[in-house]
Amino acid sequence: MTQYVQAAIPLIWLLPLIVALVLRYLVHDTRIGRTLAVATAWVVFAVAFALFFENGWGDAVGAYARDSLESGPLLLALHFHMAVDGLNAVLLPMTAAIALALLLSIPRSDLRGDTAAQILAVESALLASFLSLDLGTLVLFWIASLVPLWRSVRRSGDHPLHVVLSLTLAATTVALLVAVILIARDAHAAGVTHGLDLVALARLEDPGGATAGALLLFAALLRMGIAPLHLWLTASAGRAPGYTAMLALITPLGSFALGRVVMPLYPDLWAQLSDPLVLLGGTTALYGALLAVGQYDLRRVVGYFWISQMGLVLTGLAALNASGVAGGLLQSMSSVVEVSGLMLIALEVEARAGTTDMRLLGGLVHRAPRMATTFLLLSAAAVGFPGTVSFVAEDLAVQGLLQDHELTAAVILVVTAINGITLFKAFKKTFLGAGSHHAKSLRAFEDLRGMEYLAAVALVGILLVGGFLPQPLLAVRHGVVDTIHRIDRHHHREHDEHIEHDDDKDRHHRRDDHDD
Amino acid sequence: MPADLHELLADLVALAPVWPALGAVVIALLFVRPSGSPSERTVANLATAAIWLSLVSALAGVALRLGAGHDVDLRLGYWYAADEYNFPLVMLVDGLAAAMSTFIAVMLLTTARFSVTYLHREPGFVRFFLLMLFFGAGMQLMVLGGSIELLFIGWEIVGITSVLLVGFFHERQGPVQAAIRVLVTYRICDIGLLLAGVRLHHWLGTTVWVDVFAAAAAAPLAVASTAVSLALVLGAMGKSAQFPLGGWLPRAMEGPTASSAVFYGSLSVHAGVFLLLRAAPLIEHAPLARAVMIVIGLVTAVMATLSSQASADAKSAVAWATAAQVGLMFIEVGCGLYTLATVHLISHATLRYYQFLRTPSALHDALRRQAMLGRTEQDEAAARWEEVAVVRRRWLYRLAHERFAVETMLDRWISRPIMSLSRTLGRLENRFLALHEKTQPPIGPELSRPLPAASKEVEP
Repeated sequence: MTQYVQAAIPLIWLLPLIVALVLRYLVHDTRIGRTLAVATAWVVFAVAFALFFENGWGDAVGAYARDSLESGPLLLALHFHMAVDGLNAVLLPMTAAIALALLLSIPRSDLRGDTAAQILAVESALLASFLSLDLGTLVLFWIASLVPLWRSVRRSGDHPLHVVLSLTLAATTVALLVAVILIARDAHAAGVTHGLDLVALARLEDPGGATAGALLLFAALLRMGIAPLHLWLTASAGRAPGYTAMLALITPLGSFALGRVVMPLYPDLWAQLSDPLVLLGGTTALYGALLAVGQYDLRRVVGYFWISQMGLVLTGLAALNASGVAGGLLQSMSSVVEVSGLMLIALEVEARAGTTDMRLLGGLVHRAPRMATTFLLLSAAAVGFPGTVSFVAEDLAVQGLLQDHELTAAVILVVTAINGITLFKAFKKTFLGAGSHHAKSLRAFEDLRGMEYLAAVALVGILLVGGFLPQPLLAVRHGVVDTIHRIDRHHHREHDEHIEHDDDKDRHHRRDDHDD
Repeated sequence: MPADLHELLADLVALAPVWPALGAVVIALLFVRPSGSPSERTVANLATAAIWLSLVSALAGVALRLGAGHDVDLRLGYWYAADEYNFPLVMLVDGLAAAMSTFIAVMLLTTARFSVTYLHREPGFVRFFLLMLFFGAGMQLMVLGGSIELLFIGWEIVGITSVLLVGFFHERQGPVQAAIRVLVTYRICDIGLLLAGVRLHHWLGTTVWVDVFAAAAAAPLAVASTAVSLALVLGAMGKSAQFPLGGWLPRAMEGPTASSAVFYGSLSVHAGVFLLLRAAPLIEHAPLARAVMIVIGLVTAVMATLSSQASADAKSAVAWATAAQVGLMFIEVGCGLYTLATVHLISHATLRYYQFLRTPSALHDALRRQAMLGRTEQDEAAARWEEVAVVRRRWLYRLAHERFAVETMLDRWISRPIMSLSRTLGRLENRFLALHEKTQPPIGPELSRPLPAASKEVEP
């Protein structure tokens, strides 16, 4: 590992954390706070992009084939192990870019209080989670990524949502902590020096037993918003203070946790649950699509669309083959960009029109053609239009599903069709037509301004470039391909043992019959 | 043919979809630049140049096919590759593809010339040419694509550009609603094409047409080929406005006349027939799918003909007549009359293209016809209706006028239940969330906000 990478790894999560604390406790001037937050986000994005460039660019075959598993410094009592590898290299600049776009788009009126600090805190927690190769720190930052959202909802006075989020936070915390304790106990018994190091744990057989695996799986599915664990996510998407909530909600942390922790540490469990998980993913995808198509509120449309996409990601990951997993991972990444872009536009509409109720909108394309075009392009990308990353991702995921789950593959195709209808309907209701009285009465509905436009163009550009040249992005699968093969081997070994066992029983029966 | 010339022609034909796409991208970049929108002249020149180049590429395809003396399968490499799956970039230049590619380029060239004058000083001038060029790229990719995946990409581009052109006059509610209906139909039927693609991959391990035809002929499997063929028929039904999914076609006439002509009279509406012709060697092994195709074509032909007779406006009448003729093409393909279907397709597309372009002058034309002949087509249609007995005529006329209530039934039995289920589930979630409410009665976010001032703005 180069010195640059060693310095960059702590920098990209510590810097936003420190600046968040400074903004929260020391800086009270909104203008200075905004400048500081945006500057920090730019720095973090630049460093994260350089990390991605340093580790993965160039030869697509060799890229990410080796995980850089160097240990960082020790911090406090925690074993501190972070690295950039195939699974997280793209997520780092992507998360940093979304945080930056969010900070660039946020209106000054929303910067009162500590919104910018909360966004930076979430960014820090997410980046640290992605980097962690120690289960203790990963869990810590995983839980921390939800806290700013929970706090802002508590302050907003939305009691039902606060209750649901409290339950979610509590369930996540309890599940993860119990799992960590069980794993640490097993690791200690096995004599592992750093009991929560994921590299060391990968050498153990089911650390913490199936209970720990099931708890981690539960927490990951909850973070993804897989039905029926989705309510906190869709409700927050519709009702929580938008700019704080967006980064915490629309993140691939749940699917990342599956790829980083559950699949490598519990291959047997993952193989055993493959079929139910594919079914669960397919059901979530369909449920989300079905709910999204009937919504009146643009933010809720985006929320349900997100869980539908997460369902699709889960089906790909649970398909247990390289195509499915590559498709699932790629989909989890592209969805984040697309849905973040759509949510950002929904928030911009809300900031200008005072509502995201589509019955009160319409006809905005005349006043905001850039916003309308960006929404349309992001929608097309989100439903897998050819030439975008999602097309490649969905193609791979469906090809992966076809090997053993044809019915789910058909359901995914139906879901894609419904989602296309949903997003175009949302586009039509928000931007086209004659417009409602409310929309007509909006005198100051501005189009995307300089930095907002820049952020929108960058998001669309990422999707198009990634769509036309997907091969470097597909290299991310090298980071987990060993895991898949390991799961496959376990699966086949078990299957063979089962057959041998059955054959033995048959032989016994036949011998008994013969004796009789 | 010399190898060098073969290679040159192959390179040229591969560029047929690229030129219009490139033209569209250049126009889009000029459109979004800070200094403002490009002039009409610039846009028209760029579009015309791109389509001319596409025509040259299409003619190169004709020369390649004629020079080679057999179908040419061009393997250009892979777009992307995963461990177990590759996306092949391949083109198939056979008689059908070469003819269609040239025909598309000629139609687009004519449309570009017509639209320069027709849309002069229209606010959406640039948008129209942008979408038309993307449409051209999609059509060329669809007809020249050597695999079902490439055909699907072209198909999708054609679909989205069609939808956006139907909603071209987006400040009015009618075109926007029509665009939604077109989109819904397309998306539903796209499932068929996607299913066919994934089934083919699963069954034969390839989606390259040449390999598919060879493999299907070597080991024909009745069940598999029937499943794939039925899925393809579903895909074709939507794009070609066949029963019961044809209701979108007359509504699609909300777009500019030039787009109605080139999309719904000429090219887009025949895409379904092209798909069936392209997959004909596969569909031949599926007698059930062929029977379904014939029945659908027959029902559409009868119903659309009657609906055309009972249409009150010229564009709708021509639209229904188009659907009827396309229905006949379905029957021809189902009966294995591929050459007839191809000739029918191109000649019909040309005729309808001309008719649609003339619809703004329909009244003028009718009056002139009446002055010269003493009668019009409407008079002839009325005379034919007079021949039917009164009771049956009323009954039949009413059915035709109501488009046989197909859309009403689809709305009642499919669309509304889905929306109702969606909103019921949404309400249940809101109620569950509201259980934690301290003082307020249980309400969802959309109801907690002020409702629209005018009740007519709220959708039923």
